[in-house]
Amino acid sequence: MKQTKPKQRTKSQEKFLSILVIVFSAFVGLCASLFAQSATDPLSAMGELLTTVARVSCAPLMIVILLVTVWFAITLHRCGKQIERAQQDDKVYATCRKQVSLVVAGFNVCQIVGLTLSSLVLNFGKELQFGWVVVSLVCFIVQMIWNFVLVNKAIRLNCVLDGQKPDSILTTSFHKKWLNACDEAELHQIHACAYRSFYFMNQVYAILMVLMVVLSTIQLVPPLVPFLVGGLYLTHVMSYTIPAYKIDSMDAIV
Amino acid sequence: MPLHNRVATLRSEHHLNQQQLGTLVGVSRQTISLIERGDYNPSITLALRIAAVFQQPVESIFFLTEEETT
Repeated sequence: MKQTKPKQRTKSQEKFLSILVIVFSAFVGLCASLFAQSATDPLSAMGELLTTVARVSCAPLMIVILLVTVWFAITLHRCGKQIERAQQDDKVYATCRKQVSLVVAGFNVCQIVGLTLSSLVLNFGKELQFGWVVVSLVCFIVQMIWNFVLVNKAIRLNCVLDGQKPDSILTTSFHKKWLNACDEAELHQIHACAYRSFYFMNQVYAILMVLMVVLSTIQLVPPLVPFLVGGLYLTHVMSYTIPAYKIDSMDAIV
Repeated sequence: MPLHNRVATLRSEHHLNQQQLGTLVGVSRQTISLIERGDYNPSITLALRIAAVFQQPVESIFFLTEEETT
């Protein structure tokens, strides 16, 4: 039976993680409700504070995100050079693989943060100076295109490191081809990570759902919000449950 | 249950790097690295392929200690 070394967490670490999940969910719910409240009740101090912070910082943060993307691109370029010089040196390949994985994760985070900030910029467009809006949108477009190019480069580097992966994210079946090209250890890692992600988001959605229902009851958020969160929660659970049911139903009783 | 192995030793005796061994048995370099570190136990198919490359029985490459077998 295939196994990886289990990482033993202490009870205090488990408690800390549970508290972190609750705090994260509550923070997301609170931000959402405060933003919603500020739209209906401009005198709300907290909502105004958050709105002001978002309005002031969204445009400069776009430049920061672009600079972070530049740093990732330099790291990827250095990795590429190291791999060319390495001549299949195992230690160099192991180091480069970690760096490439980190860079790809960083690109994804930058993309999500960039999307969020750009939506804030568009939202506050009328209140910001025109120059800031233009700079932010240019940064966003440059960052999106550059992200795409650099993720493609990272995947090509992975091809050199592993020699077995499909090398184009332009195809619609990229993820399916990627999964089929994974060997047994990689599949095991993917499955373990996927289940952890599913379990974590289960907890987040559950807390968020309860919070939204409570906030909706006391009319701090629009009534549609719990339905939206519930819909996402249901989609999330079904995306796991349906394939699991199909696998279970194939089990023949002998 | 940790499985001990001599993959790293045999690989160096045969003058193969991880990438080359991975190519011979049909897995990635990273998988070979995980097996050598004991972080991943290969499937029977993969263990047999590795044994075929080194031309040794599987039990001489992958084994449990006496404490783990009792």
